[in-house]
Amino acid sequence: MSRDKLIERAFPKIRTHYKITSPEDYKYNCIAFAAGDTNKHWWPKALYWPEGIPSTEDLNSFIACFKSLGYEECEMNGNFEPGYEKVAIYVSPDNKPTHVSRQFADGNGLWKSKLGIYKDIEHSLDGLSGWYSYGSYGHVAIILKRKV
Amino acid sequence: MMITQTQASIIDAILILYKSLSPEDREKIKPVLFSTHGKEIDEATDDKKGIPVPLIKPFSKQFEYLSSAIEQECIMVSSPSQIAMHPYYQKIISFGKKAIPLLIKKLDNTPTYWFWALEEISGTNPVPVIHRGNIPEMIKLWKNWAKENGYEQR
Repeated sequence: MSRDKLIERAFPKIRTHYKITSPEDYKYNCIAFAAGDTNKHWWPKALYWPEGIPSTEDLNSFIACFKSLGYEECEMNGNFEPGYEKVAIYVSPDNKPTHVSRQFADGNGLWKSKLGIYKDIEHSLDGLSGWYSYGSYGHVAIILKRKV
Repeated sequence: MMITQTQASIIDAILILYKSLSPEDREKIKPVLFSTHGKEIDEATDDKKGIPVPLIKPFSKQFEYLSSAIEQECIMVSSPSQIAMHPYYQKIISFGKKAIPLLIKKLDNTPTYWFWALEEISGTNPVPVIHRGNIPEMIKLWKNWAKENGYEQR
């Protein structure tokens, strides 16, 4: 398995339990990737944000964004459910969204993330949690799912 | 410095305590929690704006030092405001208009970090809503703006 010291340093809990699935690419970020868009950066206020969704940098706005894509809340259930795909929204200690991961319906139950402008990886939800530095994502605040 | 599994668990415990604090108490300890990896700061610092950063001359080298540190530490950050909160980023914004040509040059290699600083310093945003998030288009529009306003680096 190809290892990446930057990833392991930024997310100590991930240890070696991840797989790199794409090279570095600055054209899209985590939330765009989770929304299925690899051509843009999504983020309220400064970047692309879906029309009609409040452009505020808070959890409600992120939830509304994914609800507009057909997702619904599912009580923090991160387990793989056949026929569903899920997104998990991470927040900082002061409850600001930091990251979004996606679990694909045809996948292996693992989650996939675009790490900022860095690489895409496959990982567990807990592997990216924690708050250590500017690159940290905090903890998962909510999981949403949609039928595919 | 690599953080061990035990250290990671301790940090998680500290964060649970942090979350139990009142908003006022959180504000008090934020400067410690959000410091830059506990990095040693040189004794000679430019502290005029309350931002402890190494004082390097000439200005272009100091800019390069600060921007490179941001690029390394924030490579996995998606939130523009989280990047903008970095003390070095705030320092770059405090440089004002003299930083604009260097920021425009940075768009060639690490564009996503610098749109916020350009907007903060210039007080304008040449990117219409329809192109926000489209990074190649944002680069083009900011470079055009720089050219029209005499900020292209010589």
